[in-house]
Amino acid sequence: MNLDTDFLWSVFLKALAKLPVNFEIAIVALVVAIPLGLLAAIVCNNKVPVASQALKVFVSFIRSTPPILLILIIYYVKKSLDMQGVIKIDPIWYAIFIFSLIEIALLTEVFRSALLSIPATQLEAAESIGMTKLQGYRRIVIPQVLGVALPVLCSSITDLVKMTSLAFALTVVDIMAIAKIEGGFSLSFMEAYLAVSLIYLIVVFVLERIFKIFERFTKSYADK
Amino acid sequence: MLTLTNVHKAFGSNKVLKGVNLTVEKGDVVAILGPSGSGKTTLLRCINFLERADKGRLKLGEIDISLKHAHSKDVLAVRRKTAFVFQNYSLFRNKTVLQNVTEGLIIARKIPKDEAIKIAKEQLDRVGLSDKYDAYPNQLSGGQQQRVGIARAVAVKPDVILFDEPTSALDPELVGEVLCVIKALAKSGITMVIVTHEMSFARDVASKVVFMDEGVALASGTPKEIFVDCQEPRVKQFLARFNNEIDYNI
Repeated sequence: MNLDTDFLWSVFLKALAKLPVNFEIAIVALVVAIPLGLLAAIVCNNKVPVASQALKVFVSFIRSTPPILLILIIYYVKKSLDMQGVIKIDPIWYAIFIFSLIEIALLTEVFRSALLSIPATQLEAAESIGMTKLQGYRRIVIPQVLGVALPVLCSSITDLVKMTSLAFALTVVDIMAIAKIEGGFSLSFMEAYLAVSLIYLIVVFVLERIFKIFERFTKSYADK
Repeated sequence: MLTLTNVHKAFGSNKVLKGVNLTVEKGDVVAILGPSGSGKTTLLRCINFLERADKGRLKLGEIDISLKHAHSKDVLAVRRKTAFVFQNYSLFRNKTVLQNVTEGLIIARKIPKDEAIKIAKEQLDRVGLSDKYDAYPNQLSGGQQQRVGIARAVAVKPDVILFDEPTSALDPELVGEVLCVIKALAKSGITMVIVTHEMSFARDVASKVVFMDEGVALASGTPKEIFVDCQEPRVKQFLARFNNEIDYNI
């Protein structure tokens, strides 16, 4: 088999230009999901009536449904909304919406287990010197939760970045869509896909480096 | 100054407190003794609302509230007049030694940062940790951690400090350094309630001793009244070992 390296390179550059689209989806989804996931984890662990049960159902539903299925469902919602002509929203927002939902569910579980690893006396100590529960969570518990959750958080962020490649199914023109389009034009799918996988390889490598630096930062107080 | 009346608390069907009364005057050092499971720690935790009692009243200065139905505003008021020293230290693991002490001052009591740092350094010097300001709790020995715990409690100038078995997690050598600090605080006139198994410490430092067993305060009085003159059989039995009257036959 011959690899058309010139074509591979040209797809690589074209796809690279669309990388910000994938980043935008991932970053917005994270900005939404990290605080909401934390909140959901706290609600679940404190067994807040009704809310914690509702969250459990939500988390199980999202976790038990393959992401591509959720995306296809959302796609048909989008299509029918578009056809009624009521509103026309950039497909990227549908992608952001669905990836936020998925990430909230995943992070709820990540933060829940991290919360369980923080002794109850940390919050009690904060309350015993007159801090409110909110202050105790904000200043004492949550920083520790983030420290504990960091390694898992990093791997789930990496997964999210990779998962954004499914957004092309929502007609979002991201790097995967470029590979599909360019591959379709020239019928050189192999080169097109290789180009995209090369981009992901680099992105994930860089992400892992960055996370390693974060981890060193929180190690200063983590238990030996 | 601090009065507890008829405190009841059950965990499920396990009745831990069955109507405990406790009076603490200003400047008192009250030692609560008794076997494990007698409800000493639970009583202390109820004072600070770390547990919600099922019944009972709490009077602390002007505050006079039900332990069961207290509003969160009153709970916060009580907590700001008291401080708690934990058995397992419970220092904030994500904060340095200095930040552990300033946290309650800056966040809960809204004291300006420079002033809070000044107070914190004073208190840390007082417990002999002037060279550990920037250490994290996991870099300290148990005794040092507990001394930070005490500095954190004293720094907020509470009306009363509650000690929950402050030396139970320490080896005999470290127990000494922590008890020294508590003794010095007692001498300086700070009101304290101490749950402890350190009998000689209770005898020598406390101004009042309360003996608890099975959820009630069985006896209370001066150390002499409890350790020497008490005729209550359960108290005598418990103190037998301390008074060197035990034999090792089963």
